[in-house]
Amino acid sequence: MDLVYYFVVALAALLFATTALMVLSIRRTRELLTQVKRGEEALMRAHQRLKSAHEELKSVDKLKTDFMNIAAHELKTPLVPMVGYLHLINRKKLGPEDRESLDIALRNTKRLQRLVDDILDIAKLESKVMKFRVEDVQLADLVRDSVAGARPFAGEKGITLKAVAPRRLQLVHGDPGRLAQVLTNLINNAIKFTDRGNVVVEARARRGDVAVEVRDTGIGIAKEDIPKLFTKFFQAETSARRKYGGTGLGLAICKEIVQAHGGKIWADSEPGKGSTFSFSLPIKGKALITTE
Amino acid sequence: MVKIMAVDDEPDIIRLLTRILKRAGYEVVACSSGEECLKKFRAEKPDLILLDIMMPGMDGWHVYKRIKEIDEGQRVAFLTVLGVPEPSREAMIEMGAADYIMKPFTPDELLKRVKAILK
Repeated sequence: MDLVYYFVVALAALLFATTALMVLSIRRTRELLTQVKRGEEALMRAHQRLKSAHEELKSVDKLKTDFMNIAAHELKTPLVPMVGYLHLINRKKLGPEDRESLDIALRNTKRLQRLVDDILDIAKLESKVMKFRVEDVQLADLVRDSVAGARPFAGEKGITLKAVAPRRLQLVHGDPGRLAQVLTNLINNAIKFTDRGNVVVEARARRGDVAVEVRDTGIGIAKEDIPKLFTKFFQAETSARRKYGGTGLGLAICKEIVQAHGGKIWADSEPGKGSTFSFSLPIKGKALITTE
Repeated sequence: MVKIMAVDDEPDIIRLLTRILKRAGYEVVACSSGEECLKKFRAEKPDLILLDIMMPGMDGWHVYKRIKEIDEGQRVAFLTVLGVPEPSREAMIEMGAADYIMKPFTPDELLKRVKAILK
């Protein structure tokens, strides 16, 4: 009898305990589920916030691009009739004084055109609005093409211009047009500041990157001026600006373009002996080009 | 005579285009807006349309699209002050199939491009 009694009590206790446990675990599961749901909701909210932040950034980006395009349009539109009509007059036979006046107007229009182009380039680069094409680029070919393009200018000044590059180098990733712009700029600078001797453009492979050097035997740059070379509107000595011309933006543009390709740009020089401007670009696969 | 339609909202540029092209022996039809171009081009049947991109009202992209919807074979070249891949991606892809002439241009540059496009 006792045994049956104990058995029933034990069973009841067990039942009670199981039920209690079940109730508790259901409650706990419910709590957990609520927490999971809350977490999910928080995640959704965060996602939504990120999404709208992303949209906002995208629209800021679009605003910047639109602004740049409008600025370019407004700055360049008046240049169209200026350049066009001056060249129409240029086809006419003129007296020596009129000829000189027109030549000065043409030269300065060209200068303004270059300045507008450079200012728009640097503004687009600095505000990260500039879009780069991304292609495989053979720098050895680019060096040879740029040197060929600058040959007439070197000839005019009576200096030797030479390209030294293996037939093939490892490919880099980037915008061939913009990289050519960097090369042309460095080569033209070298020629501009060299009155005697030569300019050598050499491309070679290094570990993990490809380096290009533009060496000249020109006037050189004072040591204290070297760190300032790549800043906007800097030209060693203001008299140099008058003598050699230029917008003072070329090297700043080069630096922005090279850096956007994940590369480096630097200069070495000895006054009176010449300067070397170099840049390096990571080989394909290691590039960090900042573009969509 | 080869007929060219020039579309630009800047009167000075229209006059310039007309002068250069007429002197080179082309017949020129000038339009000062995209809408005017769309209204006229079917009747005028130009050999080439020189089309400015940034215009108030209907811009060059829209005009280009409409022209191509109406007559796929119509030759069109954009006149642009911007570097080539600067407009929107979508516009770029469309532009890939089209010709363009950079502004500013010298008369020689313009005529060389026009000749090359008409070839």
